[in-house]
Amino acid sequence: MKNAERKRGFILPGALTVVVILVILASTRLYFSRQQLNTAAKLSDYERSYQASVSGLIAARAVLSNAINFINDPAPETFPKREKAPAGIKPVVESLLDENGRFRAVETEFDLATSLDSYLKKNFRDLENILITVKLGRGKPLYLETARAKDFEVTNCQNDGGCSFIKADPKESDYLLSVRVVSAVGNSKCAVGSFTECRIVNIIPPVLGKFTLFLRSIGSLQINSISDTSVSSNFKISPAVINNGMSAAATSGLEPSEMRDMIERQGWIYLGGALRWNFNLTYAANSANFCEGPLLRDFYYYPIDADQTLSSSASLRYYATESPLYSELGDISTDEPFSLKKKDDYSNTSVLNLFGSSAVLSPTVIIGNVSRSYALLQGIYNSSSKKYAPLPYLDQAAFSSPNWPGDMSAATVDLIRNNFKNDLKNYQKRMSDVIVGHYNAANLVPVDLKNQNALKTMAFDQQEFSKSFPDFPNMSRLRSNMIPAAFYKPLYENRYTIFDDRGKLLYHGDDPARFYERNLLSHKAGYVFKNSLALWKKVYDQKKKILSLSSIVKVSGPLDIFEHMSVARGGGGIIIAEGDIRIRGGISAPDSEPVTLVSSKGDIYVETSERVNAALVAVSGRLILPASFDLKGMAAARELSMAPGRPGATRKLTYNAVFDPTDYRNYSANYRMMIKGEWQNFVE
Amino acid sequence: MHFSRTYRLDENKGFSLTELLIAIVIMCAAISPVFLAFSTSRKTVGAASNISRAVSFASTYMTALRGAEPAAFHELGETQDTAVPGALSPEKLMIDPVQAGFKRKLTLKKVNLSDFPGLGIYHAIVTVEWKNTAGAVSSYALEGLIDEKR
Repeated sequence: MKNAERKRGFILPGALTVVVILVILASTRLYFSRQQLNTAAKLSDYERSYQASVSGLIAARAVLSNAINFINDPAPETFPKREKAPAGIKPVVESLLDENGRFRAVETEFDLATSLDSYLKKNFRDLENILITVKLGRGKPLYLETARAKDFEVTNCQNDGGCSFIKADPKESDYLLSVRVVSAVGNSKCAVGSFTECRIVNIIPPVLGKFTLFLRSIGSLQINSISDTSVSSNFKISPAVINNGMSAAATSGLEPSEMRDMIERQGWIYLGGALRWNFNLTYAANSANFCEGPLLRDFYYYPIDADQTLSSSASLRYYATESPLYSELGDISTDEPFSLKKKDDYSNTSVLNLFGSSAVLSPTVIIGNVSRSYALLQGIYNSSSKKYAPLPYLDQAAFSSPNWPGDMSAATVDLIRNNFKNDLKNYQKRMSDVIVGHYNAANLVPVDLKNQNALKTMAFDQQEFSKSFPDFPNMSRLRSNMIPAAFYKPLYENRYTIFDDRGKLLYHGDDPARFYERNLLSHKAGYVFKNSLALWKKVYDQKKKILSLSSIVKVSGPLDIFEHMSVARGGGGIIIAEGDIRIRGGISAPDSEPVTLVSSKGDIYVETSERVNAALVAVSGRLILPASFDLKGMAAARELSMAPGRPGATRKLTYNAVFDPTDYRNYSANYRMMIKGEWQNFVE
Repeated sequence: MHFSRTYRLDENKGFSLTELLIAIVIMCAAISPVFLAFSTSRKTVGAASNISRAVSFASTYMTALRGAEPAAFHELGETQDTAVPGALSPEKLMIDPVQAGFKRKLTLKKVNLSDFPGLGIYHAIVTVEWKNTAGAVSSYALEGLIDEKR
């Protein structure tokens, strides 16, 4: 009975149980739905703080990019960088560079405080705070204290203790650049970060940049292959004219020290190999743009010695003048001064004018076994009749015969022979001849020698000349076999040493191109592209036709400059191609912007007559030039090959001093900071 | 066995009226707030879901915009996404349209700062609107910078 009573009232506890369960369920559901709402609200805040942080990264990268572009800009008006930095990026530039304007060698960290992050704070709704921190990780030198240093610092040591090396630049380093952004919206905070490796390199080609023309061997180049003439209509092939930087008139009358200083700053020429490079100086129908300049083409007069019979006539004097070579020097039209010489000695001239032209004489120093041939035209001048009678080149048999070239009568021949006491040796001092001398002697042409006998001693007796002018200053940037180089003497030695204008050693050795063969530049490359197309995609704006490098990049294969490209300020750099380089369009660049194209294993083909503002380097291959070309920069190759130039065609190589590594100020202006890879992002 | 079972049934049968009435009163008193709680919860879940969706719609568009062709960017007043022209439209960016009941709008403003000439950065605002259960319009705005020079 008791049990029955108890069981009868179960409906109430049942109902209560159901109610309790429902209440629990409802509460739980309510709790979780509230949580869900909170989570959604938090998510929405978090998403906004995340987007704000990502925006902070974007702002930081834009500011850094602007700062790096400014630091990379080589324009002189942007120096000193810390002072000239625009207001927007000034704090960043000051944080990245030390007081001397160099990238800091030690780790640096700073908060970004520019108008761009201020914009975020002001314009992003509900953004309570944003903190952007930039960190430049400690630099790791590219060469110093690394295995690579051994490749480039000291190699090829000889028994005599001589070593070849290119001094590594300790400023060329790798850095880790990172940005961290923390932002807060509502109760949500989000920290994101981004980092990338960046590299600081100098984009001036080491050592080779000092040379206007650097050729390692003659190869198949036919140096003297222009059939030269004084008749314009017969002049069929133009030589290539090399301008080494500054110019000077042949009659400049420079002090020796002024000439030395000028040559220190010029682009130099290196012509390597064991074979001698002999250049017959070009006459080119006396066209100012092609005719050689470094000659004393004025007439110099000398009194006839008192013991010579012609001295009895007061109106007679000896004369001498220098001239380029041309075939008519064997003709009656010039009184046949060379009719007894082999025609090949004077009728063919060189395809390269190393010192410019008579219109623009551009002297420099030449390293290598290099000589020049030109005509020394001598004779007797009658000041009464103002007539010149050249004394022709004669050998012993011709000297003794009554028939001399130049349509001279037998009586005249007798008279002259007697004047020289019937001795060919006496005659030879005053006769016309082809002079072969080392090329650097041409650097004396613009110098005021203050001595009328200079021409004679220059032409015939270099040792005598040196004795006459013992006080010529030596060069400070170049040593030959460890001895300071003289700019007017031959430089054909085993080893050369190059310094910059502050006396810092840059190079010592016999052939700096060897270091390029050992991938000196490849180790500096920050980016490697699989082909030319991939490169252009990254660095070339095809619509605007603007090339922006600001770094050293490498292409695994050939490189095709398929159209005219312009390089903007700060967009210079070096492209290293493992294959051939084909230049089908011109390259425009400001003179202050160095652009270098290097073929590490192949040839460089220039297939355009447009101006190419670039240094071209193919130390293992050929530089192949068309009939008409206009290069401004420098050129280095194992060999040179040129198509014959049409008369009057533009064929010139002009040195751009922006490539000069011996000019400290110029070199310092051409460091570039490049972001090596994509930014890697992360969320903390 | 049969009798025994009958006996037990007899013992259980018959609730007292009082018991039933009390149970009904309790049930009625409890059910109302429970159902209210369920209803509130349902609305809360709906609201949370809407916010989550709005965040997702906005975030997807913002992310897609950051990957758009740099040349496509230009100033744009608040425009419904379906009316956004060219390469910045959701269709061209290959993102799904918003669900029914939602609207997504885009505003693009170029960031012009005198000390950063030619910056090429846009301030994008993606706003998602929807009607809540009460019929009022709710919205969620996501802001971000986009660098056209990236």
